[in-house]
Amino acid sequence: MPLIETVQLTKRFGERTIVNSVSLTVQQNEIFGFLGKNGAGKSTFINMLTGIVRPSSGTIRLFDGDGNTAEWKRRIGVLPDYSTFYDSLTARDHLLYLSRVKGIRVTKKECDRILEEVGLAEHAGKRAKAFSFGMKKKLGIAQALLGDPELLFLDEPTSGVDVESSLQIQQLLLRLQKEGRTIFMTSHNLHEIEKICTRMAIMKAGTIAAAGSLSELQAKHRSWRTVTVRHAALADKPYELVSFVEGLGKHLEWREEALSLEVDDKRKVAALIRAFVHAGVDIYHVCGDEPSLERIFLEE
Amino acid sequence: MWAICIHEFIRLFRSVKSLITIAFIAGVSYWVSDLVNQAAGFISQHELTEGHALGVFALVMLFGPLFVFGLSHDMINREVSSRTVRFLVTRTSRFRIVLGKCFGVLLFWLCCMLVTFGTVLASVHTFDVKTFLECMSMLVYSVSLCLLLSVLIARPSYTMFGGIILGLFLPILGIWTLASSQPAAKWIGYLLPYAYLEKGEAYIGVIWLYALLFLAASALLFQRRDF
Repeated sequence: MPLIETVQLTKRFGERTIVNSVSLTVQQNEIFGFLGKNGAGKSTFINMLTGIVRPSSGTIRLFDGDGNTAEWKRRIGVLPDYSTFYDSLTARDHLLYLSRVKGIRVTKKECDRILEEVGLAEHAGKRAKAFSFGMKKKLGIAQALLGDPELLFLDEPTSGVDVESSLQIQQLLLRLQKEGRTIFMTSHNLHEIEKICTRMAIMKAGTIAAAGSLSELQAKHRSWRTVTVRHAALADKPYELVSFVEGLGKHLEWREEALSLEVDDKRKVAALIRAFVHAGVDIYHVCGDEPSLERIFLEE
Repeated sequence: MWAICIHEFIRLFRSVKSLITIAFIAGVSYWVSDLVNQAAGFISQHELTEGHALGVFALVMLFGPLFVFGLSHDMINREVSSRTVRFLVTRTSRFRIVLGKCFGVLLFWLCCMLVTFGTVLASVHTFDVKTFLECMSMLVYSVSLCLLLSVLIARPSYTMFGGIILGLFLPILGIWTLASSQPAAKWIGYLLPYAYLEKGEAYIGVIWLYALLFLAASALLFQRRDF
């Protein structure tokens, strides 16, 4: 069942089109990663889905069109970008207040449990103004988890967070997915997206440049693969070998005992090995890599 | 809506500025009612009841808008500029946010008036319902105008400046419209609460209609905003 469906969603600010006719579907129980450079339109898109920004045109359907906007708001959890909090309220007070705004009753014990999940248990009674950027981000995630939402919108949930906390948040998101929740998240951390997301989309200049699972995106980019060859140390590289290798592919990196090269045909890998053998250079190891998300991202 | 209302109400009560304002209004009202009480022998019972509330009436008419703008000029744009509004709009409807904020500030002023009239009641044992309603009408008008200003202007520093100017200017304009015989004064007077307060009775309803109009305009404008 599609939990998020947008049809030709567009946002214009004056003359500038920030999101241009984006149609996207996110299925139930997915962790959907949304990638893009700064200013690509990721946050505007997520803000339209959550009601922070009003679309200029197009439609948004959440929960397969089941229920009205007020009901949707009760079933979603949102971590907006640039989360700022009420200086005078403690972390626990924030959760109590924001749960009441949502129209749900949450006990102090429940708030403490959520704060513990994001690693803020010992700071529950501290005022938000004393929080670091990373702690505010965790509090942002905690408030998004209020009321056990079925659908989570997280705008860069791990940016500015230390490595340990980042891993803790990733584990939390995977556990939430296991429990049946759907997560729509944006991130600049490609490794994180590659690790936890079931599907992803790359946004470029307000449009979706590519979308699908990692293997689908890799299949699209499989025409080029990176070959790494470890060989015997070469003081002087034979001229014929160098000129042959240079003509085989692109992005050649050749150090003393290792070479990496992108080739667009499997047969070129065989030709590369033959050239090394012909030149009398011993090969110790050959490996071909699938295109990484980083490469796909940069190429899209 | 009620969560936002209570939050705004408590926020106002936590502020030192608000407590000073309440103490000032209650103190001056008590002093005036006590003064009037000392002259009880020279005036009729009806005038005495109105006289007891004269202090609070004069304060609210002359400084009510200034107090309201001073304390609540940023009731909406504070949340917008600090981006905490994003937590609210993703949880409840924009109309409820505007209504919650407005009710929270109104609740504060209702409490302030109850404290003030309660102080007068405790000292001279009279409660002038008519003056109480007139004061509340003036405050409702000021709060809804303040709300509209806070939705219209994005920066709290601008609404603070504009609010103080408007808070000082409104009573001066009000007095001028009542005292002047110029046709312009009459027309401007229709937009302000003073003329309706002077006419009294059902005319006070027009002030509440204006307040409703400001509230509706605020809700409509807030509905169209991006955060």
